[in-house]
Amino acid sequence: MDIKNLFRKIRVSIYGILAIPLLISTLHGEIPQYKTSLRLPPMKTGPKIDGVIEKEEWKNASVSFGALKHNSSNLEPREAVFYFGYDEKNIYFACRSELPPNDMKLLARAQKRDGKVYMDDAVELLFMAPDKKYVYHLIANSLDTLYDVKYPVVNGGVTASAPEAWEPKAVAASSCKDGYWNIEIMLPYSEIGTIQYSDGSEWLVQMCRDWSQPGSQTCWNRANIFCEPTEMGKVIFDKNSPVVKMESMGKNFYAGDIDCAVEIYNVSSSAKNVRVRMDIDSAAAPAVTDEKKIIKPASSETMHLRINDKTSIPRDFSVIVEDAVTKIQYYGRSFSWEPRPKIVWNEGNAKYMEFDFAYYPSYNIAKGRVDVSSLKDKDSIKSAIFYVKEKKTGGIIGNSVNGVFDAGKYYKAKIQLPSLKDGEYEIVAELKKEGAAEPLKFVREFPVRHFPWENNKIGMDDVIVPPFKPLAVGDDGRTVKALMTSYSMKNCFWDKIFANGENILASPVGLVLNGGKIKLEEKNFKLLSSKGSSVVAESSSAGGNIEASARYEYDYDGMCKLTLTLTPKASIQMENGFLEIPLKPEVAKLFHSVNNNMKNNPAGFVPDGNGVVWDSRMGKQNKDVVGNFRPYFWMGEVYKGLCWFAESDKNWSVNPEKAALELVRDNKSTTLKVNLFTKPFTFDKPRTFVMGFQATPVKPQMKDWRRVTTYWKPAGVNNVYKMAPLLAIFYFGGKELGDIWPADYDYSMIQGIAAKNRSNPDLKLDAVKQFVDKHFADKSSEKKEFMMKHLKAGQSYSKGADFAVPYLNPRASHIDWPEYKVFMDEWWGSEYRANSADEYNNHTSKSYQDMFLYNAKKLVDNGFEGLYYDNVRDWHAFSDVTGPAYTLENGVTQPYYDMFEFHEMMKRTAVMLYMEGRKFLDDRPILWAHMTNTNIIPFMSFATMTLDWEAHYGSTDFQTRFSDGYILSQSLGTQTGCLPSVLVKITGNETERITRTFIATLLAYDIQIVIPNGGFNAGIFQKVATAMLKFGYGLDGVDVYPCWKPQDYVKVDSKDAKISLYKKNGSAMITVSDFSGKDSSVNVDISGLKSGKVKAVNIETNEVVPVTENKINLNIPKYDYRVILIEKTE
Amino acid sequence: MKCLIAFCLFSIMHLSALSGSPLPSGRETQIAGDDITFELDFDDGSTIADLACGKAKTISISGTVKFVEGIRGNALFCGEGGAKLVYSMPGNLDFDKPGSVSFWFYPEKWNSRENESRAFFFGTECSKGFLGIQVDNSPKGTCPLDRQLTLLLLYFSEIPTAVLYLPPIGVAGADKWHLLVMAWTQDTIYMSMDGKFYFTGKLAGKLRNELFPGKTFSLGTESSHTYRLDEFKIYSKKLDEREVQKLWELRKNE
Repeated sequence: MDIKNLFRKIRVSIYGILAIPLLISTLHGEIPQYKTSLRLPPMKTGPKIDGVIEKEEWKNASVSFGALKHNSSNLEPREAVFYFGYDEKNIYFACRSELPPNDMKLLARAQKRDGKVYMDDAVELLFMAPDKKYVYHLIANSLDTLYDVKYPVVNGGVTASAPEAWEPKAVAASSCKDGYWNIEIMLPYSEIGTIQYSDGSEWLVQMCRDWSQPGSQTCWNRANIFCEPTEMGKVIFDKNSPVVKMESMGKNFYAGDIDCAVEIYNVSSSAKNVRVRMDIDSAAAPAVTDEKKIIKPASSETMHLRINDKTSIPRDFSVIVEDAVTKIQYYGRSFSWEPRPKIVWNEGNAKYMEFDFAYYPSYNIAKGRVDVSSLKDKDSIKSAIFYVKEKKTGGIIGNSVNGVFDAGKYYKAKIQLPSLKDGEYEIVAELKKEGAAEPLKFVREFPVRHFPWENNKIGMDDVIVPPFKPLAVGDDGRTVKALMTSYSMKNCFWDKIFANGENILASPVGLVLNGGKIKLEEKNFKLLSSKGSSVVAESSSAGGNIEASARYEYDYDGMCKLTLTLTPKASIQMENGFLEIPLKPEVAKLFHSVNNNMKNNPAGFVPDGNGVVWDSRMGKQNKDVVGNFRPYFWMGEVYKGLCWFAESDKNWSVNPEKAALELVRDNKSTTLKVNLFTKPFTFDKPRTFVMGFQATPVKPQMKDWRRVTTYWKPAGVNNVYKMAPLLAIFYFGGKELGDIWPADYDYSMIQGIAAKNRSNPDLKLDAVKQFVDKHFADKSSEKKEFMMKHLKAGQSYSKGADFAVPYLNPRASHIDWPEYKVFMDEWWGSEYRANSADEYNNHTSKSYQDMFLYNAKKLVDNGFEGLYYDNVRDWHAFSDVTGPAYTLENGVTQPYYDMFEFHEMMKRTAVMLYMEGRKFLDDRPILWAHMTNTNIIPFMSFATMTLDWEAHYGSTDFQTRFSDGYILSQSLGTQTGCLPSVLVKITGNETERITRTFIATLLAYDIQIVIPNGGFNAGIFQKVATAMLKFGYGLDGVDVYPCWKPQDYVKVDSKDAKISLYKKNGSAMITVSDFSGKDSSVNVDISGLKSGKVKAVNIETNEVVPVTENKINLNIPKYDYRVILIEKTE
Repeated sequence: MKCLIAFCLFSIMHLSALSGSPLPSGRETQIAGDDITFELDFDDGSTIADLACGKAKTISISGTVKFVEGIRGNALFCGEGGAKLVYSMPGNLDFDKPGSVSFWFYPEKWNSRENESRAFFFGTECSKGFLGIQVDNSPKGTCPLDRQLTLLLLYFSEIPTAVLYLPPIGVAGADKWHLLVMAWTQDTIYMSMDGKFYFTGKLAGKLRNELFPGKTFSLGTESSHTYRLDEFKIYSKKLDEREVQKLWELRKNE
């Protein structure tokens, strides 16, 4: 099999979602949780592989009912049962799963070995054999076609995208009968490397059923990555174990007639004393059975947990079977299920939405669209009338609008309305057909309500948020000076842009039209207004029968919104045209660009060479955007640079095959070309282009930023500031993810963790209990306990914290919010009403900002020092009312990115925090932005902290996760003046060593603030960090030289070792991190310190390290590090 | 270390939607993946269909099967020195219901050989029911780059002969991959190229399986103008414009 080609074909979706609290997908209640495991004896005789799961043949196999949805503990509503067994020669696996109803069929199309079996209804068996060398992966469809690969195990984990070929002599056989698909698979040990049958051996196993129509990947043990060993269940071969079988939860268990039946079959010659405990839990009817039973040799017993409760609610289940005396576990499993939906298969065609509409309260606009493509006689439609009426009175509001026919299938209309008062309304479309007495009538209802937050001015105060300073205009009237950057306006663009005091432009920014044949020359320039918080100017130019006008609008973070209008004075054939932004090549070393592909956005060094070294067709594209438009591009070096951005390519003339953006290098410049015109056109009417520019750095990093820690604080070290991010609404009393308020708007729990209460060592348990009893009275005891735990944890994390911030998601919404039912079309960003909501994908229109900040301010007012924002990333929306989305010639809507709106969201947040007096160490507000791989300057300029590295989670070494260029271009916070922080998650069985690779990377790049997310050994990290903080790292008088910063004090003789140096009078601390990927011996030359006689100590071991002629020899294991304290001894 | 225990309670979860099993997740990025009735990508160097609701193997092959670099992996080399593949219709291609055919082609040296005949892509080459997509036979003296692409319906007992035209790919389309999609409902044909919708053709009769007594369909050709053929798919639904657009856009992600 051609693995390479296979993976070129398979496009693994790795769109990530930045972060959510783990608790969303844990079990609903708090019943005992058991790891998925089974222990079983060998089968006496293997089953006949004929597709018939005969009870007798499989009686020595373990049986597990139910398949869990992908990355969830909830059952897939379609029924599946897994069988697993073995004998001395083979492993046996079977799956029985329900067939689709009526005339639907399983998808069964892959007919050749290693073909696209995964595109069909399929089962999967994955396992890591006891030798832990490979994870083996078998997939089979109902034609018994097999697909098989294996993954090398590295550090206890695997890389899912790098399988190797595997061609085992496995046998599969299927049958479809009595409403079920039965498939049996046999795999000889001889096909699994050198593995042989061995009693007592431990295997990690995953069993899966992949459903189609609709697609759902389901598995035995809860998993995000099926082939990840740490996400598999455990199977132990044990000849003395009984067999445990759980084949059913009752015939009608989804309807509440539940019968959990666990059969224990004792195959041995001696009696077994077995304990079975089963728990079912819900808000309605918790139940438990906990029985011990003596099971005679060669006999079986079945234990039941039966309840009959028709309440339609989620339920949790767990089961453990163990030896009553030795406590050896024979079987364990936990899962949940929700009421079965009425429709679980895609029966027939999906419901056809023939009338779409949207209502925009802030804009007083409603729009409708009728799709007539399914009408046989659509040509007979003579008119389409759209109007809005009040439901109660039937009175038409505003004017009726004639719909226009578009794209060969739609009648569309946009209706301008007056401001609507509270009430229920209908939007109506009437299609009149020739000769028909009555029109075809389509009606959709929508509510209108008004809320106290509407049109508020929170965060819109005309103030300058520290550390920014008021904008200043130079004596020439053309230069706008921001805190660390300045811009000299010329000829509709700029002839100089200064960053950190240096003009970074190689030549002026300008337009190149028709290959340079049309030259624009400035005709006029005027400064329209100048105040500290903003500057507005305009410029006009002309040439080649084209007039250009530009309006510059500067914000005090240095961002400039440029509105450029080109007006032809006569009809012109425009062949091409681009905007060129030339930077000095020594400045433009790094680049970063986004297109809603977080974790896959390019970030790194500008590729070598001259000519076009990068263009926007490279890398992963946003599939919702036609062409390769990218909304954002930054280039620069660690301390300076420039970004360009735009919300869409509206008014460009686009050939989607050609590059929208190109990066071109020659000896004089590295130039970003923004290709406005790649498709020739007749230029005969004005075109307006809106874009943004922002030079970096926008602000300096905060003094003492290296003294900030998260969740911990070293004892006995002064001037350390503990941050406590509470990363879920539950920690401060919220009910639903996405909420911006605690339960019933009771802020007492937040007040309880406010700064004045944090030193109190006693948790306020009484208050917590009262809060839960009051606001969760109608919830189950388990939900109450769940809240108790979180509220107590929230208090615990906040205790002693200098700054506590709540998790909020500025792109979240919830379908049940009263305001969402009115404003969803402004916030969700779909072209027409989608009736969808989630925690991540809203766009931040003005009304959303108003609502969000109104509520966020209350959190701050009640005790938080700042805010943590998840999901600070680019996102596209399809609404042509809220932004510059537009319709392409073929009727497809080209979306827009809310670049300016999100900038405003961040600015308003910062202003609100500042106005509320919430200050960090240097008076700037605390706004912590999670931005993994989306370090968008205009979003982060008003942030205080960035959070990166929520990517490449797994068992690999950190030096291989993020490249030098990635970290330098976007992780450090030097461009945005933010404190850099990172997430860490480690899997596999070498978590301690991988933690050290993480620390090695942190040390090299001077990153200190860490949010752990599993597998991280905090003890190792805290020991190193404590030593650094004690040394004075981050304080005045200690100079810090990270690996990228030139210094002459300390050198190392290996290019693969990265050194960071902290230097103060009389002593220094040196960190040396290995990036070679192998054990190494390096010599560190410290003669540049000119310290004379010194003593060197490894701060982790306290061992003295010999210093010979100003050289220190260090043996560093692969990807490890050493931290050496150097002190004068005389 | 107390903190470390606490972290577990609210650790942040990475939700890579369906990044779990890398193989089945291929389904998620397929356009109308559940509706594919026949798929052939040639990547494993085989003419056996990757997916087929009917027979996956060829009924016959004309010419020489040769694989060349495709839009992803391999492509089938067609035209002089190449091959035509014939497959069974039942299960795979169904005109009783709405459906679609999509494929990519890459013209090779189409700026010469002005006097040669058509370049056949796909069709039911039956003397009692011919439906074919091809580069037009004429005008002779014109290189295939400048000839129109046609959907030709001939010899049907119930449908008059019809020729529906797409524009030539032109010089600008030389040495590039192109996506052709034909969709149908009973009496209507929808054609698009390179993600753009071109026309809806109304037939003076209804398409149905009975009109195709040959019960086979062909793709590729072993003669005349050379080109590469790749990613051939048949769907049991009419792809809408958005889906066609996405098919075209998917190419960008390779």
